Amino acid sequence: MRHRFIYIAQLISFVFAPFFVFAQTENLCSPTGYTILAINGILTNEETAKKNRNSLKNQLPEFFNNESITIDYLHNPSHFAGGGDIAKTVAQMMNDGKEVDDYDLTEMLQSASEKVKTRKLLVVGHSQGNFYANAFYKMAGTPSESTAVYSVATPSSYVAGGGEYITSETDKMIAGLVARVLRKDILPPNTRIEEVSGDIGLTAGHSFSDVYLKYRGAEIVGGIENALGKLRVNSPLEGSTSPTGEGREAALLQVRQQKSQKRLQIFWKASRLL
Amino acid sequence: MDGGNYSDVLGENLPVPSEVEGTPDYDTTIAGLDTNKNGIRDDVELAIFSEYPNSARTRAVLLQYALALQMEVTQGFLNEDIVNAIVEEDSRAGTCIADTLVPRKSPSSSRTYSDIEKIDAHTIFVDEKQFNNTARKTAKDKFYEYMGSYSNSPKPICDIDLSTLPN
Repeated sequence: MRHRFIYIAQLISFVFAPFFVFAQTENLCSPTGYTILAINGILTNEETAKKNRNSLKNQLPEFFNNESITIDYLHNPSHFAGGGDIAKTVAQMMNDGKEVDDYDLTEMLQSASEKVKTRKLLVVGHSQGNFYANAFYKMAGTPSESTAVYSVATPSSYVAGGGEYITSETDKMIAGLVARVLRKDILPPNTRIEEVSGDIGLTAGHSFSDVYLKYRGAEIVGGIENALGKLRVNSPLEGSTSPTGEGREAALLQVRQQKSQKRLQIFWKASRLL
Repeated sequence: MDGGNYSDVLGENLPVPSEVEGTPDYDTTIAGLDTNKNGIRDDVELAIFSEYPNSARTRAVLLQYALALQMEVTQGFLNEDIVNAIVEEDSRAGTCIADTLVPRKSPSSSRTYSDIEKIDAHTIFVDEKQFNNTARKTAKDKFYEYMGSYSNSPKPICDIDLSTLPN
């Protein structure tokens, strides 16, 4: 009996923990300052993702329009030692434009809700991370005037919110494999980075820091600054990107509920194994 | 070292090998030797001093970075929280290197890729010393498997107030 009580208490705290996190952070977002969230692609291992984020941070200015820029990172993890990633990417490609809703996105939204302290927010996606960048824009529930996406090497057919992108025609992964074989209506290449010696294989010309930032750093910084310059802070309920159109709070609540549901699912699935 | 240890930066605790016993084998374990107990592997510390004998500021920022890298391979237990906390230290040290050795012209100006290469040259110098064999590289790879959505550290970017150093 006592054990059952402990299990119930643990279950309640486990399921409802996210509510407190969101409740704390929602009211802290400042109207001044910018946050840039970088999302890696799954072909990028964790160490390289860190390098990419740090290179972006080092390259960008500390201030824009006299307001500070905070650069943070949302992890897009690999699953089943990479085995599940190809299937997931293909599924995302086939469903491009439709709503992405999976556990990784929920985790990213949760992480962002804890990290972001400014109302002006730019998501920078690289490669498959752009599917999440686009989904983030739709699902985060932040006002569209204060949120934007900038895409690097995107396998998607659009950039959420009409944002800018950069894809090289020498990018073997995007302009080669994806555009020619997997899905032909993706955003076309809009620059040409000369092939880098020694950079060979399926991912040649695809690296965020060693190709795009290295050879198109000024264009990427310019595109990001252009996107930041368009961000405006309005009333939290105006122009929401929330799918329900009911504002940021509604969307955040939706995320909370999804998160709780997922946790509940995991809990019950795990409990069956005990 | 965390929080600033000026004597380490000035070389007052440098783990110089004894002339009698000769140079020890620094590579027998992943952690290696840390005879002065400052968290930085002795051979890496000596390499930084050898490369930058005339710049205490350069040594300070590189030693901070080396300390973070050493933490990546000396944890008894790994989980996402531990790894994220160490990656935050690593990134903080990287920013300290960048802002100290290759500062932006102004806070509102971006860096060129040439600037990034100068920053990378410093970090690669320490990376190569730190992860100088297969066992250490493997330990680092295992460490990064646990990395998640790490954040920016709330601490000041450099452990030491660099303006107080002589050169």
